[in-house]
Amino acid sequence: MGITFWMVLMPILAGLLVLLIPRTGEVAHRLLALLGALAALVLACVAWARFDYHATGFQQVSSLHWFTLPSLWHGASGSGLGGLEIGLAFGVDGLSLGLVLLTGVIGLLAVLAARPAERTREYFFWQSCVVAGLYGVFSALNVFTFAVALELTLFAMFFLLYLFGQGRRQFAAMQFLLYRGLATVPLLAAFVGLAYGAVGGYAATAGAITDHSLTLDVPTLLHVLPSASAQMLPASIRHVLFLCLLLAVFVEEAFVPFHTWLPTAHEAADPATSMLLGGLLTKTGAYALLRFGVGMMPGEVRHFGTLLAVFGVINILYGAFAAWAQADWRRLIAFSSISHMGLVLLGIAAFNAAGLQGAMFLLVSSGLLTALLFFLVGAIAERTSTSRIAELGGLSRRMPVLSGLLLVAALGSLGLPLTSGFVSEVQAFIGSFGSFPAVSFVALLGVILSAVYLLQAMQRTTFGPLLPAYGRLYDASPGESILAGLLVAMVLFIGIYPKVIGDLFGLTVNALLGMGG
Amino acid sequence: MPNLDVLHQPYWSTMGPILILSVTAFVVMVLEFSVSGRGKRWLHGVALFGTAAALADAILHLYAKPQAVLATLQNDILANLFTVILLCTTFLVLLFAWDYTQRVPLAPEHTYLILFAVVGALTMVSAVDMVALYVGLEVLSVSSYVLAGLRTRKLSSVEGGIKYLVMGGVSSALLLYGLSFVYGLSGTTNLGELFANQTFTAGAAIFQQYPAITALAFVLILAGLGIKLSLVPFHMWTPDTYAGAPSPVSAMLSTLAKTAAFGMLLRIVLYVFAVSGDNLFYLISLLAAVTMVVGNLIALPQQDMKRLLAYSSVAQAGYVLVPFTMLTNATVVDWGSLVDSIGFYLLAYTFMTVGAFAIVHVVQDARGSRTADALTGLYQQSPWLAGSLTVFLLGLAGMPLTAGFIGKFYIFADTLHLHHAWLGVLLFLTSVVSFYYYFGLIRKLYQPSISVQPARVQPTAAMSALVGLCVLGTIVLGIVPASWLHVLAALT
Repeated sequence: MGITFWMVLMPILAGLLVLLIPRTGEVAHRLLALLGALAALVLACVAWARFDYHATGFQQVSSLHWFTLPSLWHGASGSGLGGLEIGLAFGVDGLSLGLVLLTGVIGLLAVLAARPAERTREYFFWQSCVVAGLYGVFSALNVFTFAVALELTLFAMFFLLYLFGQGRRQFAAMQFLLYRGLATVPLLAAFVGLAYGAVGGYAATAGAITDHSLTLDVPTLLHVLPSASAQMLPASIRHVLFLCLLLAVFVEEAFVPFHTWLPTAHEAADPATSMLLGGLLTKTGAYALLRFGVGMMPGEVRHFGTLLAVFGVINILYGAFAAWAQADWRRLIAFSSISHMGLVLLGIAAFNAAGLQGAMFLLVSSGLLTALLFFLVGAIAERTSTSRIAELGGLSRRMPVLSGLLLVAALGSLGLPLTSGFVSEVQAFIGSFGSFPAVSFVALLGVILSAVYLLQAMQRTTFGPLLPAYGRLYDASPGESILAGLLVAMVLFIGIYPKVIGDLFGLTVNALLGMGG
Repeated sequence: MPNLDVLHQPYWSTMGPILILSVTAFVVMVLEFSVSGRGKRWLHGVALFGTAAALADAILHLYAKPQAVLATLQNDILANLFTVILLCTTFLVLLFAWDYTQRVPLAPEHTYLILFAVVGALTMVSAVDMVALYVGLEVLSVSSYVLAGLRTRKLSSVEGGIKYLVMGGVSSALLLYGLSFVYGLSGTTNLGELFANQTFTAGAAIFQQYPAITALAFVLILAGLGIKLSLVPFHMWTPDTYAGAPSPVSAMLSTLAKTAAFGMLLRIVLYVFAVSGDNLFYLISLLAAVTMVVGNLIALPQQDMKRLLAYSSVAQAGYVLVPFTMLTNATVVDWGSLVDSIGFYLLAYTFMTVGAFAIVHVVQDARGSRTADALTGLYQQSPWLAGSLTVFLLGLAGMPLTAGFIGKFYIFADTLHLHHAWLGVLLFLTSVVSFYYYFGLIRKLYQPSISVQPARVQPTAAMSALVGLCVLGTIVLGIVPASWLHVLAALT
């Protein structure tokens, strides 16, 4: 059991301890959740410090045999001894480490930002479960572990939305559950199908069936699948499995036309939950596409490249136009993040170094910026009791710090140079212009639109006459300033010195392209 | 000097649990009318003790060499596997009944009726002769008819009992009719002989020579057991009977009776049809698909929790039916895996269902209503009960870290391997539909109660033990599934 295992376990342990403390120990609940998130972040940083930039494959692997589903696979000789070994395995490569670190940062800040009015015990328990699940998703080295972690985030988030949301929280929680629950169906189908494919379970000729034991181990699948012959895994089966995966990714990422759950959920969620949802939970689908789609079925990504690119652009533009039309900050940010994720899809479709790297950068950048935006909008809404743009105005007079931070976040989100948004978008576009010039040209419109809707909303919120109702508002507290300042610092740091995560992602990009070549 | 050879016969490893439970049932019956008043409180204790002894005997002889008694009862893999599941179920149901009698007056005869029903169920899963199978089914059914209508003062109980009686009669008739065709074709009522004839001699030819009669027999048997399993479209009696019957009986009908019927179906499918009638198995997949879809869809608008659980048990039966589709001649090497997945899911389902029925009953008893709204605010009042019900519902919905997820995943992995992917995908799709009503109940648990403080829910010791065991079972099978999977793997 290595550090990655403990990293995933820490938040769960903290969550269970929270449950043991009486209902009234509100400070203790928060402190324990904080300790859990902090311990996990420290372990993630240790994994980073020990990360070997020259090695290939997964590092810090901790693998645990969990159980075996007996006699599921007999191999070519039909020996009858095979079963499906199911393990709890965690480990990191460049891509996962980047996202694990993102989880660490946002998970910690979400605990700090949480302001549950009551029932703190349940709140911090479920929040810890979501964070642990996210660590699990991004570091799982066994597809079963991945699925379990993803479902853990699913029902833990349901409880967070349902118990602690506002407005139409019941509807939002149920919609979230059903949409993302449905996404796990094709995801599991793709996973188990890939595992059977890797041993020749769908082989057209009996000779291609192997005697290897059936496995759900990600490194093995990554090794076997990209080079599997057409006899072993027929192209038609591959296509079906890839489309299953894609369907799951589309729902998880809230891509059009499966996007409706995301704005509703954000509208209902409290700010800290929104940070987790927008900053991390909407990155799981893209991670799955990179890890299992590009990693295991590179041929299919090329085959369906144009389709992916077109859907990417549709999302960029739809997200941007929809964001422009929103009257509420939360929905605006939700649609803006859908627009960003469209660019991720476009970068992946390009299937070249710049495109893939840009997509990975965007995941981190959009994660940080979305979390920052939701935190700030939450802080403003706490004071003004509304996040509707029309009901705000002139806030910069009373709240210069909050308004300033919001401006930085908006500028980062629209891709101003020196912010992480800029380096990400530039790389993604360089990549996509290399593969799909015409489509990418249309997609550029999305960048212009994002400037329009973000700056327009900024201007209406922070400038103009101060509404009389807001005459007595107070500015950011020191805690809030530090919290938001940390996120801003990271956004700027990545913008100025992208090498810090670029080296990590570069490793995975090379590995992915090496296999696909 | 009496002949003591009887003690050294294979009877104990083959019929041990059946004998122990029969004796217990008669002892309880005699005690029931010989003791009076408060003495009757101990009836459940005696019954539980007998069940525990039978379970111990079954576990001791779990890996014993298969032997047949009079070519009728056999302690093979199927028999041992299902015997263990059935006895676990019996233990839980008896605990439930014990708690029930402390709240609601119920004729004390139910104790031995349950035991006799179990004797029938055990016979159904260990008999290898069609006559014995049928006798087992009737013993289970006749006891269940009485149990379902036991609350004679309640109209709904009587109505449910009568419905069950009528449908059960139809079920027996159809089944018997189907079995008679099998006998006509094969000339034997012994399934072992029939199987051997089909495999090693020309016995299979006659089935292929008369495909229409084979099909007729198959459809009749499937319909007959389909009624017992409440598969769609034979499910109409289920909600009324479950809603009317005393709660422990509802729990028994949805777990014990179904497990026994699944065991019997498995026996007949494997011994009679897998070799020469497997071209008919698309009917099973059709039935499974319709059951999963319709069962889950009609559960959606239910507000009455017992009816909801009834429909949920319809849908769950559909999930268990999926592996049956694949038990064909071509997949002999995979039979082990398929039987394992059935065995795993049935045990998981038992824990979750009995637990859910138990908590619904406690809430109904305390708050006088069993609509979903009665659950409101339960969490604030009894966090342990609410937490347990959450575990059961999450398990039934198939969430990971509970037994339900592993069970579904196992079946799903089988379908993908054996080229029935559409059934596996449908299984998970319909599970997502079921999220709506399972999570709908969970929602209510955590809703703060708005109006008056509802009556306090008081679980008895028996109830605490029952809920504790069920939670333990659901979670242990979900987190350490190897505990049960190893037993299954060693058996098959």
